Amino acid sequence: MGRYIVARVLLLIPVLIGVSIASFSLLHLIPGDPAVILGGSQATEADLAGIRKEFGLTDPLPVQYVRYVSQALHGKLGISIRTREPVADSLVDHLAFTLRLTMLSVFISMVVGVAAGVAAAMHHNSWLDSTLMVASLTGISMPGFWLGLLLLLIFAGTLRWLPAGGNSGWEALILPSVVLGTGGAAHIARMTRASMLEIIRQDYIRTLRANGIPEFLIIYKHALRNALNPVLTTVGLQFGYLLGGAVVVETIFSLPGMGQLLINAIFSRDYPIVQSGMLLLSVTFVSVNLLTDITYALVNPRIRY
Amino acid sequence: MSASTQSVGASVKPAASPRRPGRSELLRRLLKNRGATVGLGIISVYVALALLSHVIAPYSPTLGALELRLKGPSWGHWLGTDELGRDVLSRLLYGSAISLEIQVTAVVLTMLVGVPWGLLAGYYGGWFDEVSMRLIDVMLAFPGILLAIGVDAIIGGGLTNVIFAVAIVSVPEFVRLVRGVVLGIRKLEFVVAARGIGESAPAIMARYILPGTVAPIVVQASIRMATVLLFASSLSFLGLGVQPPTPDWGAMLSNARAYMFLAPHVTAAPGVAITIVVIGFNLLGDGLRDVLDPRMRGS
Repeated sequence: MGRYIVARVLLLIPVLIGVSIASFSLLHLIPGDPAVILGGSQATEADLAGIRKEFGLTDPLPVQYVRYVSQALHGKLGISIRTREPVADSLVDHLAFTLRLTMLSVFISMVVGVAAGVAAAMHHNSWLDSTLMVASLTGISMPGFWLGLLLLLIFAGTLRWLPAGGNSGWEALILPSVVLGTGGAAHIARMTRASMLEIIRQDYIRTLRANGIPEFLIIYKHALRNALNPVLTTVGLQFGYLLGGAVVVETIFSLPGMGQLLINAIFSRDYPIVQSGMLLLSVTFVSVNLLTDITYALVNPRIRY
Repeated sequence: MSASTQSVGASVKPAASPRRPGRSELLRRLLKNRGATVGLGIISVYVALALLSHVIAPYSPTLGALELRLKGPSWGHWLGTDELGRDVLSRLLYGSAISLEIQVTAVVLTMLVGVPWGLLAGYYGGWFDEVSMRLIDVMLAFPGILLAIGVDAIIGGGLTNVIFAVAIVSVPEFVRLVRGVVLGIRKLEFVVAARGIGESAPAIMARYILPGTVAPIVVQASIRMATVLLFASSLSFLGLGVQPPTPDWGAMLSNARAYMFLAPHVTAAPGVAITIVVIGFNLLGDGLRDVLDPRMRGS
């Protein structure tokens, strides 16, 4: 077990190096002089010289990269071009918000998805099965931002039950997490159903049935436990999928998360924020994947690296 | 959805069967698959509308009459008009041509890069494979849509750049898929034998290995057509992709959002269109998987 975890963590190192190079390169891949990008089009030649000195832009790229990484490791995530202030604090706040939204959505999608998947598998080829599968196909195929607009239209517009946006407490999180959870639940429902159908055809389930074990015990104690294994392995992926979705959905509900921060930064060409935002989100994503893998290995002793 | 009804045919592994099913046999099985048929139907209508949009659209997609602003559906304008008095149906039809262009170009581009890459990595292995896989890991360390946003931030918006962004995001999936299949095939007897009689590596890859990757690639391509449309319309919706007044579906939604409480029909139309097209490609993808590659089912 210890060896597996060590190996899995070591495998993360090249990924993190790659991610940091990608994030560092952003500023240099954008067409144009980085000093002009940082200083804006109105900057004078003297301003530009100052910026080059301040950001060390005349140093060789590897030197700049090493400095970028060491600063990031010390929690210095750059200075906003617009506000001229360090971005770390506002990034952390926005990230915390997005994480809360994502985790709530993962929770919703797990509960709804597993329930729907089990129900569909138990009533295989019935009207319930078909309805649930059509619903989950629609859930997978609907753009999240559009579902968000529709729900806003219904609940904030017509019914006036919920606020249209802004961070006014927990109720502002309901619609966005339902929107995000829908896509996730649809994926999980399909996987749970497929996995359940495979399990209940196996010999040991038939043996349990032959021994007269009550059906609900067979399903919930024996079948579901095994059927959920492949579903749980995708929680990490689900998380990434919902994290990306959150970035889009946040903008619809004007929520103060990473999405809003990133998109605004792209529009105002505030690239240090874009850089650090991408870096933080991907580090979060790979860390969650790591945790999922390790948890999975802990609960399932057959998995070895 | 039709997983169980086909389980008899599916339990025959292609490698073990004495004869590979012919093309007409595969088509017959595909047409017997209800989901695939519905998917094919949706896609046919979509492609036909996209190709004929310039002929059948009743109005111009960009010119409107301001006195007809935000009117609901009527006989003159079946889906109503938008904030500039433009006919929503006409914009939707022209938009289908743009969506189709994005989907086809992006998926073809992705395959042109991803398939040879995965083929070489899987066949040769070694340091090239190692470096490739680490690179793919880095690309996959960004959740899909986020990577598209990042690429877009670098290269900028517009139709061509959106296509590039979603194509780049799709590459890792294809590389991994093709590499995995190649790893499974290259140790098989007929490949070893081909190498034994001195066939060159390119010949072996083209003649013996590539055919084995076709089925999973076709399945993946169909599902990717769905994802690509979702990603591209998200980018346009965020204002990072195709820009107004181009009648792109995502851009239309982005516009419609500003007055959605006033004129919900303008918000409804492009969303329904995207959903239906994505359902079509997902259904076809699922059906193709059932028919072509039974081993992949449920994954």
